[in-house]
Amino acid sequence: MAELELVCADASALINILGSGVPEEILESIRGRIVVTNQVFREVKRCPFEGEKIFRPLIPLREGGFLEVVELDQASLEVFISLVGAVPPDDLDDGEASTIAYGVFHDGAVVVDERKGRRICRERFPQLRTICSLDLFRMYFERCGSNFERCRSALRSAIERTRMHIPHDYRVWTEAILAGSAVTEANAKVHGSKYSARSRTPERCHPIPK
Amino acid sequence: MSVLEKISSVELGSRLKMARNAVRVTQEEAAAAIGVGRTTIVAIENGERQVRPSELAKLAELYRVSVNSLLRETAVHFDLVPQFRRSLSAREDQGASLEAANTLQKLVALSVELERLLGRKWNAISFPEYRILRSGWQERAEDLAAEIRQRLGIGSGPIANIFVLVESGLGVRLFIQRLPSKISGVFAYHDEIGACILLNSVHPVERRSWTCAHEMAHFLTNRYAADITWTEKHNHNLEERFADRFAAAFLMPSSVLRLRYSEISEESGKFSPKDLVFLAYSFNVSVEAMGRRLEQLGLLPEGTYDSLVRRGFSVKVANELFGLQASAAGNFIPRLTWLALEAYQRGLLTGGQVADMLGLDRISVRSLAESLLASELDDEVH
Repeated sequence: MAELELVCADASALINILGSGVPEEILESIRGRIVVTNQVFREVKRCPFEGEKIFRPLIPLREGGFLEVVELDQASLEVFISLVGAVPPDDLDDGEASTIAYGVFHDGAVVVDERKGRRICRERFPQLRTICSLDLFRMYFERCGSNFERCRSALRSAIERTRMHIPHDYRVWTEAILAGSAVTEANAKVHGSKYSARSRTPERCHPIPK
Repeated sequence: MSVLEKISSVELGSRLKMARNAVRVTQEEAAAAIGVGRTTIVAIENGERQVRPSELAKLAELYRVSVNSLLRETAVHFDLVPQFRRSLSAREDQGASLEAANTLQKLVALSVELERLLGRKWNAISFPEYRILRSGWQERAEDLAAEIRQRLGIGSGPIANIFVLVESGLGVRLFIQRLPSKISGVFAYHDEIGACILLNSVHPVERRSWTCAHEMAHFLTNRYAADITWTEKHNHNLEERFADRFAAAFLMPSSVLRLRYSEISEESGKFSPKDLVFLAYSFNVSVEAMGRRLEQLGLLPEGTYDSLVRRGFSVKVANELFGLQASAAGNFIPRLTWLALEAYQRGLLTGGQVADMLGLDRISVRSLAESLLASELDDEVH
């Protein structure tokens, strides 16, 4: 996978990043431009999150230029409406729909965690690069791996504080990391696990961009 | 054809109007938010002009609803609020009344929508409506409570969990959500939807149980009059007094209560405040409700509870001294939550949609799904 120039994150991903306790570091490790739509920013900012310690860095992240909040233009809005107004169960919530709509028109990668959102991406926008929160954490490990303990603590924090869901494809890797394995060792475990023989193979996971 | 062309302009206009009214935004304010004249808002709400995507996004933001909830094909939009006309006009505090009525309407609509999405049917149970007669209404309330208990097959013992009983035994749609603190509960009935009760989640479980039984009486005696129950007694007309007496009799049947009272009094030689607390706990009601019920049945002299309070009796302190825990009667997961989680589990709803529907944040939805669905949430990523 080529360098990610533009990453558009859904509310779920943004919450996980904030839950890590080191959002600046994770966002910086992505290197490309990181955006969230106005709809996503509003969702994460509004009550009952307000006052929660882990969500306090949200505004500073924006002010510090780590995160850009974008408005949907006319073309994206049309796609957004087509996604939120699709016939159930193919409709999406405002946050995911706006993230996908923005990604479609700006040639970016979208970070979508939800099973339903990922299915709709696959079906309606097969060309759209779709990654998940764990991909961002893996990038962080690759690029900040020298401080492994700090990375591991960020991953643990996201899982414990924001209940970040670990998709099936990432279980082996996550468990290995949390158990203390080095990144290369964890990657090897993924490829060597019996799970890789099944249809949902880790080979199909996005490789970490160098 | 775009989504906005497909959806009926009249339907969407009506949904926008309901959403605007729910947050009490004027047509002028809405017009200013999207940079048009008031007449354009009128035309949009009447279905005479199609709303544009950018306008819809701005109006949804102003009305604090998601665009998804306005456009969702399965979304159910009906107006229960007019049924509350009597409550809304009778009290000064119309803001709280309107908030409660709107909350119930939203929850009922979501419940029906989820049932449709999942292909589930709500099993409404047919109960006749009973007339309240002015003469002998106390005895009638006692008799009706006994009759309903018999129909439900629950005997005359304490009710372990009235919420489950009301939902599954009476076929009432029951919701528990935060309401203005001065409101205990809300009741409404709709021919197509059935009976709906909303209880204030902020109130202690014993109070919620009482309110639930009180609202049951409205369902059984005057179901077409939507009702809001307040913490302070206002306009205590015959219907309200009947509902209170029914609640007392339903939660604390006289026959069993007299027997328990006699047993306790005989064993310890007298009936003390500790016995009152213990009895209240065993019936899952508040100490005050138990005290007043014993007075009502003539087992304690009238005014005993007030006198105890005046003399410094504190339920909180008594609970601490006895090491009593809050009763388990609050262990109730509303059907709406179950339905939403099932839709989430089946990939029919996203976490964001569930959060929007249940009024929760995403982390709470994740925690709920984690604990209630466990490993079944396993999914494919790529």
